Amino acid sequence: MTGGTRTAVIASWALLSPALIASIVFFAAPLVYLVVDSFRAFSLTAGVGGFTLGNYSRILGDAYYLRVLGDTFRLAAMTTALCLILGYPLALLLRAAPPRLKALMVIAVIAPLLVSVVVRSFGWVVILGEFGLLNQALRLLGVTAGFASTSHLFTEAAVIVGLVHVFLPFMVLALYSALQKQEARLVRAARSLGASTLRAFIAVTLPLSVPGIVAGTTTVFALAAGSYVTVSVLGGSKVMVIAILAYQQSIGLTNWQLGAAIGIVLLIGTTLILQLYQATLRRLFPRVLAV
Amino acid sequence: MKALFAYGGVLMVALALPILVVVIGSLTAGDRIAFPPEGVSLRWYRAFLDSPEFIESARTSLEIAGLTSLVSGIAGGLAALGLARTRFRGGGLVETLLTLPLAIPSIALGLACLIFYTALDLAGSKLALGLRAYDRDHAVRHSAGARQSGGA
Repeated sequence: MTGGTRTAVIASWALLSPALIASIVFFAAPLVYLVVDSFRAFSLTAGVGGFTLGNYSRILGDAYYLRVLGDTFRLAAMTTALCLILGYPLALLLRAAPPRLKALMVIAVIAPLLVSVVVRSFGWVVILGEFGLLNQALRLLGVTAGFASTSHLFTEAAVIVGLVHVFLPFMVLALYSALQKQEARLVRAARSLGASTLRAFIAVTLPLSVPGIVAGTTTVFALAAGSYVTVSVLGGSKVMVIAILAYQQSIGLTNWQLGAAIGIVLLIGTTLILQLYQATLRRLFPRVLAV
Repeated sequence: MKALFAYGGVLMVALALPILVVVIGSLTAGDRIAFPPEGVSLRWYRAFLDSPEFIESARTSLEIAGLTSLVSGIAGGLAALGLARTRFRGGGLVETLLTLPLAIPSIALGLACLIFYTALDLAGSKLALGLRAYDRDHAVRHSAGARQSGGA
């Protein structure tokens, strides 16, 4: 594509203007306002006060907040890793499947996205509860003591299971779109030169799919780090993440300013981690990840 | 290859399972959602339809969903068209701005909109909720993605 003519460029800007105005009014302006608000003081007695760094020093100086921040990113990282491990074979399968089966599988992967996160998380409550489907199945298999007679809810494992379920479709779609762009003859060439299936996968398919891996892991990590519903349904009060803390402070305790600062810390933390991650991968795979 | 297909089958069942469990569980005649359900009945659906609050909430949900799809469909569709037609200075920046909301934790954005619209005295209105939902505008992203792979 070359640069358009003047009229074409003007037409493009005209087409873009509704979305741009919407982005500014509904996205950029509130976000700027959030940043400003996060620097303001608040007390229950005096209300909103002047500008201060107090909200940030409170978050960064409090061991509890820091631990929750760490837990949030750890849960997000584990969710991302599991989505990648579980999703990659599925994406390979999607690529290999004959057209009719492929269409069916794409629907099966996308369909959960059409169901609200609340419903999907609640489904896991029914499965993982003390008298849930999982324990019933275990009892049928003859396991009665210990593991099969306790609730699996309100644990980190339950939260991770729920998060993986919610975000797996994003990962599979990102991986599939990268795999689909690869030329099948590259693998055939590797095979004809004597590489085993595994060798061809490691030397050709896997490195070429790195852009898809980056896209999928980045999306899943960002979404998982900010997830609220799944964590509160499956983690109860036992698993605390930064999104729940921000909500408690702002809605529960009406301290919007501290809530805003928590939101900003999450945003900056997520961005820093993802930038570092992408920079590392760019260094490891300079050829496939050229900017 | 067979193992891969078996794995895919198991995983797809696992993806569907929590949803199926809720659907089947909702037909229970008992007082709690359990699997298998304690008898089959539509009593909870009747309870839903008999409750003005639930009906009102459902209406609100549908209004917000409709408003959001309409606005983001039109604005997002036009934007994707604008980005795809010609390449121009600033196009990449615009695309980044339009897709950025996806990368921002929704709790931060939700809070941002709440504080901002409260300052404007709009909070709690359906308009504000609809505007907020617009931020998760996937329309631009999908159309823009199609543009890239389609090589317009």
